[in-house]
Amino acid sequence: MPFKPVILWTDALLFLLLAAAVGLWLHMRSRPHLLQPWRNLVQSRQAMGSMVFLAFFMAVGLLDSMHFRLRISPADATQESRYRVQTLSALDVLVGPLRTQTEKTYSAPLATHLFAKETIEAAGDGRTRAYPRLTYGGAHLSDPATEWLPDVLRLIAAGLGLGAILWNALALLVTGVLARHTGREFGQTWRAIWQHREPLPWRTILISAGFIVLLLAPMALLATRYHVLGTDKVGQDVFYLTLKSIRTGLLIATLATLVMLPLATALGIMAGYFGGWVDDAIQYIYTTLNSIPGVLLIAASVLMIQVYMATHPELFDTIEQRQDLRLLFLCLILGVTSWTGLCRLLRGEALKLREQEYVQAAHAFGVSHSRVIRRHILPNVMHIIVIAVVMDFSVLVLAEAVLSYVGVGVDPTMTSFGNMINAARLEMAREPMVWWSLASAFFFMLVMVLSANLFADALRDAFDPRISVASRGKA
Amino acid sequence: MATPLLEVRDLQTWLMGGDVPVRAVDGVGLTINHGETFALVGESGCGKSMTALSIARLLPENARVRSGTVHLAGSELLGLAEASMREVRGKRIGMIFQEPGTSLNPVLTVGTQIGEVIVRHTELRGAHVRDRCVELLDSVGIPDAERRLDEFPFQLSGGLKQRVMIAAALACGPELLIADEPTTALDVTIQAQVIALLKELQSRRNMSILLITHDLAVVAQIAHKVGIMYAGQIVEQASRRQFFEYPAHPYSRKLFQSLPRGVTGDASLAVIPGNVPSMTRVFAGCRFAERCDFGKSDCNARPAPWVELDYQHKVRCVLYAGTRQVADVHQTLRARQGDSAEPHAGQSGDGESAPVLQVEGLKVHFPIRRGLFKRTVGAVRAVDGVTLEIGAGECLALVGESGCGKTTVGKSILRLVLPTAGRVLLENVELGDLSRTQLRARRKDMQIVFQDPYASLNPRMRVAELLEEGMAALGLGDARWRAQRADELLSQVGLAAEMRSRYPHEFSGGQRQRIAIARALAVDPKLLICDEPTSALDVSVQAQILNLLKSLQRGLRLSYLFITHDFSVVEFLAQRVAVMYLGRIVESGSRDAVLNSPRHPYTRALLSAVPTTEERTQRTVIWLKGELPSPANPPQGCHFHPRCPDAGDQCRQHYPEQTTISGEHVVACHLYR
Repeated sequence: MPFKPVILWTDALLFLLLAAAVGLWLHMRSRPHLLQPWRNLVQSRQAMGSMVFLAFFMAVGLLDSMHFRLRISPADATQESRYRVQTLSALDVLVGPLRTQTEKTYSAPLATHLFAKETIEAAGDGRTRAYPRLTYGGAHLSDPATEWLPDVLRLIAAGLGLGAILWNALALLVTGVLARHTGREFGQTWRAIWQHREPLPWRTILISAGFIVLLLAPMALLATRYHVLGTDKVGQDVFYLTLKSIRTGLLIATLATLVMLPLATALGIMAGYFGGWVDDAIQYIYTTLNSIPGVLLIAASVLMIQVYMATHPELFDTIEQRQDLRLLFLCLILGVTSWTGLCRLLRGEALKLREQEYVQAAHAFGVSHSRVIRRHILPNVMHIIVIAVVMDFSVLVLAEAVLSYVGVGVDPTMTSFGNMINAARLEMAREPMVWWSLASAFFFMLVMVLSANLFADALRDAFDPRISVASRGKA
Repeated sequence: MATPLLEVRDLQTWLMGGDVPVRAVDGVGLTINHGETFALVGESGCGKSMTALSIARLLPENARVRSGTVHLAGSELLGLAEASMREVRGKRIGMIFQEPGTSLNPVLTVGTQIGEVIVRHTELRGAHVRDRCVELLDSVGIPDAERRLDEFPFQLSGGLKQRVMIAAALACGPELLIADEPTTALDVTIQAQVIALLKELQSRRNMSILLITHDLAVVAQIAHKVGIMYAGQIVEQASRRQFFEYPAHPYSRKLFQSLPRGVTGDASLAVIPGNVPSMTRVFAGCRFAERCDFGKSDCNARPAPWVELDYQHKVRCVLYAGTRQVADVHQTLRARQGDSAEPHAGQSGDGESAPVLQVEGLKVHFPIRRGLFKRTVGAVRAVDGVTLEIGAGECLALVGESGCGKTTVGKSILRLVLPTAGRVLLENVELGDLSRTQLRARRKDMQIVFQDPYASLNPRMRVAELLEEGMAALGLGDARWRAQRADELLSQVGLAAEMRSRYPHEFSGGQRQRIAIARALAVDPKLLICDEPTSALDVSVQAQILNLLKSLQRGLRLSYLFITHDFSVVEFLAQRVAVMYLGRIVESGSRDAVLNSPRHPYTRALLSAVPTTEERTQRTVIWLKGELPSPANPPQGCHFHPRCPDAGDQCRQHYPEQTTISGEHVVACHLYR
């Protein structure tokens, strides 16, 4: 085998989460009352529009979570296969040269020359101080001063053209599949989509997808010749770094939730349902936890982990494994510190549900507590859990950025939005300013958090019991 | 004839938002004269509240008035701008609602809330507003009005809150009072007070009332004119006298027949087959045709015509389309109705048998805890020494006002609430002595049916899962047997077996209550505790459930502990009655003894306050002073003495012993020592 798959801890958990989501969907498929709010959701334009953007981020994140190590070509066949130390991901392969084509230091987006002057040995005598040409960015141009602009414009135009073709293909594919599915004519279906008469907001989905394609296709073409978003201090491509940061943000948001959910659900429901000393004990725990500043707790735990990892370097084969473990611990700590809000909500809800007559009826049958919780309480608080999870997503993405900025976030060698911002921070004071690292981290994070927030908003509407009661139509 | 105060013509209100509009009000027309009470009667979902809200223009956001006119003393209300409509509401139209608890803002004092209305609509300011408030509270019979003004709603009881609501509605002397189920949430004694108050206020102020209710007995007491509403239309209009003497429309007649009052023994109640039709439909013919016993073939095809039977007596039915006299039609109707209301021969043998349930000195006290260390400072004596006994196949009705502890008795028998003291013996086994596992096994023998069928079924479980849950928990049979049994149960309570995979929200209230009963029956109990199982249901649905309970009692020899506040239900179902007041049973005995010759002053007051549809000539309501005291702090001596018209010195000092009147008839009162 030319490569060896590497499953990092966080990868495993992410895929597990994915499997759980698929499992949940299969479970719900035959239960119309569970499916109903989701049906409301997919019919909402806001939800589906933001979902397209989120799907892009998730696709990047998932690609970046498929890790492997390439084999070093053995000198002879008898030798035992050995693999490179560096772990790569599917994304790294896909973006190809972006990862390896590093410059010396800063260069502006689409630049052909470095950002800093250097002393260059002239061919003749003496030395001049000038901006040297980049090794990769615009290297194909013989005279950048005249050729640069036409070349860039040509690439953008080609990219837009390519994007348009791709998008049209997508639109035709969707229409075709939809037409076959409903048994209508193609033209009819096409009009139905654009006049917004389909149950699913296909028009919104296609327009959102159009945005992404038309933005990414020119960027992709430009990226083959230039550094689209410039390079950072050590000459790495900022576009590449930004793409890599997406996975970190996604992982923190989802895995911290994974840690937080069982804690919040179990403790919240137990406190509300059992009451008495159980309730007292759980309330004391979360009140205490809540009164310690979160950042302090996170900083203390992260520092402990850091020291432990520094003294036990033998535990990790690769840098990636070290980074990964630290990420995992950060998720763990974020999860442990953020369960109190949801727990409190669930306690209140369980307190209310406990007195419901159907729970009383179950008690009258002698149904055991665990069964009552599983069959009567949990399904009836599920909507709160779903809403809380999606709302927490964006909070956690932002939390990662802030924590890494403060220095207690992910491993400093790991690419993440927080680390990018942290690295760009000092250069903001420089004249002329190095703005592109910060700007691209900011832009991508904004799009991700904004679409998550819009999605959460639509989700809350779809799950809001008051709205669903009204639409049930009591005559 | 003078111009009417309110004239509504062809009102149509639709609810939008769903796939199809709901035609909640579909062509309603009515007129109310000055000083007149018009009762709009109908079952839930027939559009009566929507009619009232359309008149006051307080419709929910998704509702639209499609057509029609509403004239209030000459001015058209539907065309008014919202700003001018606000002048009308409160000043010319006053409104009171069903739930006095939720109609008052809990964080404002009573005075502020009434004063608000006065300031909005009159020139009165400052101290004058307060004087006016006091005057208003006095006029609705609230004692100590000056002090009550500064109290918050939580400090008032339900009856007082409803009086405050009435005072606020009357603040500016409206010409029309819209009362939407004003007494439904109140106990009989309080209900009698509120009805009397409304009547008195009306005659004093020459005000018109649009009363919306489902209770024919309330209508009989207060209305001048009656409109019966069915599926968005008024199907019959008459004066009270005409209506109660000759209800003309088949639907009105069915409503009367489904009242349980006066039906005893093994007779069953008349039921209306089927359900109220969905209001999303467009009707071609008569809306009641499908459920009508006299439906003709063309009823479904053509809309039923309005037929004028008599002066002011109109009915929307094809039966009267000829020129025949009402009496003739009635003759025919009666002949064709058969003997549905005739009692069957043969009383179910209530032979003496070993009691299924014995309760001795049951007490449930809820501790009141205060302070940092949750010290117990007192106790709410919800149940304070209840003793009762139920034989096999017997139904004992436990009657009392809300807050008297009757529900707690039921729950503590099932040990859903742990009793503080006393013994509960189920088939001579003391439940308190059993271990957890033993008790679980005994749960098979006793089950409960709750009041609210909407709250007692888990909305996220299918019917089959609901029914099988109890059997599974008690380990009865295997999965296949349970599924089969679930189907049997469904047919036993009159539902189709195909309904097993539906969810509760797909059923109507009556069907849900059937499911709840089926669930309780699943484990084959000997004793069924029914906690007001029909009080959340409409009359016609109530009749179905009561018939079901009665036939189950006969068929399975079930014993019931039937907890209720409704004496007509007691009359229909119970063999014995126990009357409860403030945690204790004050009178018990056979049904006939207690209902026909009540001894305890409380029982007598309760019975006298029950409204009836018959116009009795000699009927004196015994007025009870005040309201039920708090069970945390019951009065010294006999608990009832502060409200008792016959209380003596002895009553203030000692709680009376039980006195046997005759046979089983026992009363706890000093009058019979």
